[in-house]
Amino acid sequence: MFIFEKRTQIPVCIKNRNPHLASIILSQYGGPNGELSASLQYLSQRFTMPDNKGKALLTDIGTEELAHLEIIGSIVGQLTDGEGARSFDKYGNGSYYVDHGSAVFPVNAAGQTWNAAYIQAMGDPIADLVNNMAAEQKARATYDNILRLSDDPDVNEVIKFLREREVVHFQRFGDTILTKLSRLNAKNAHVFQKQARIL
Amino acid sequence: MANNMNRRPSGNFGNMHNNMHTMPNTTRNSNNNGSNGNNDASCEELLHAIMEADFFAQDLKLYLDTHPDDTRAVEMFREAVKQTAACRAAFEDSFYPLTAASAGMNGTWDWPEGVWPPFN
Repeated sequence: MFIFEKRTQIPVCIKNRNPHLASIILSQYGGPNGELSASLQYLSQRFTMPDNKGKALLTDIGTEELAHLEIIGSIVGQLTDGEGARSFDKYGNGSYYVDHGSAVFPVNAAGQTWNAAYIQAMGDPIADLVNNMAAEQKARATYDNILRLSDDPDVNEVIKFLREREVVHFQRFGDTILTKLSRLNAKNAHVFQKQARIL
Repeated sequence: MANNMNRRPSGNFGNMHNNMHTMPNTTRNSNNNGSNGNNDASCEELLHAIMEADFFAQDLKLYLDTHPDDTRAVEMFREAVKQTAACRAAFEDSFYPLTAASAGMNGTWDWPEGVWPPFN
């Protein structure tokens, strides 16, 4: 289960209002490589991860991604706080405003709604973990792109933290894969035995 | 770690490894309702102290998920968790409940108090 704590993982304090930048950041809320995708991918995969160590890692990283989803939502919410229809329209986001007002809605930067096809869960530990390493790098690259597009120092400070966390998660998934691969030749290669039982 | 336990948190998030050993000198039962005495840690400072200590615990948790035999990291994790709990208790004593489990302690429903997304 999950317990909510009434704070973000790190402080989010954005002074400027900028609906255009908000629409770019929003891709990490409801886009293909965003925090919603990451959290649902890991938290879904853990149901079929054969070992408890793997389940713990997927749960812990998936939970941190939920905290990051909240941070992204907070950035977007602050960037658009108090901004009305004219401001959205001036920044080129009138088409978003007409359907969602100033709400934080899970779409990518081009306005397409979040889609489960963004995520992967194969029920195969190696396939899933390799997918997760790719997911972390894609998220890291997206944050790099955001940093290239954004010149708001308050936003960038938070984005740099989130980018760094993707690198840490990548390393953790990598360590887990190395451990699993090192056991593939052992008689208790549980990863494949588990698959064989399912088949 | 223990000899630093009575220093106030600096509230500087960028220095988390230095600051993670500091904590406010209040506890959950210390009857501190914001009327300070020797603890004048601000709301923001205490919140930052929670964030620092809890982030350290979070990072150690992920590390231990892949390095479970590192007993020193286990000790550091326990210390970070203790630190987070102490900072959270001090914050909730003086300001507002961070989790619903800490709400209603004064007989009124104070859970909605405080700062909610997107402003926290």
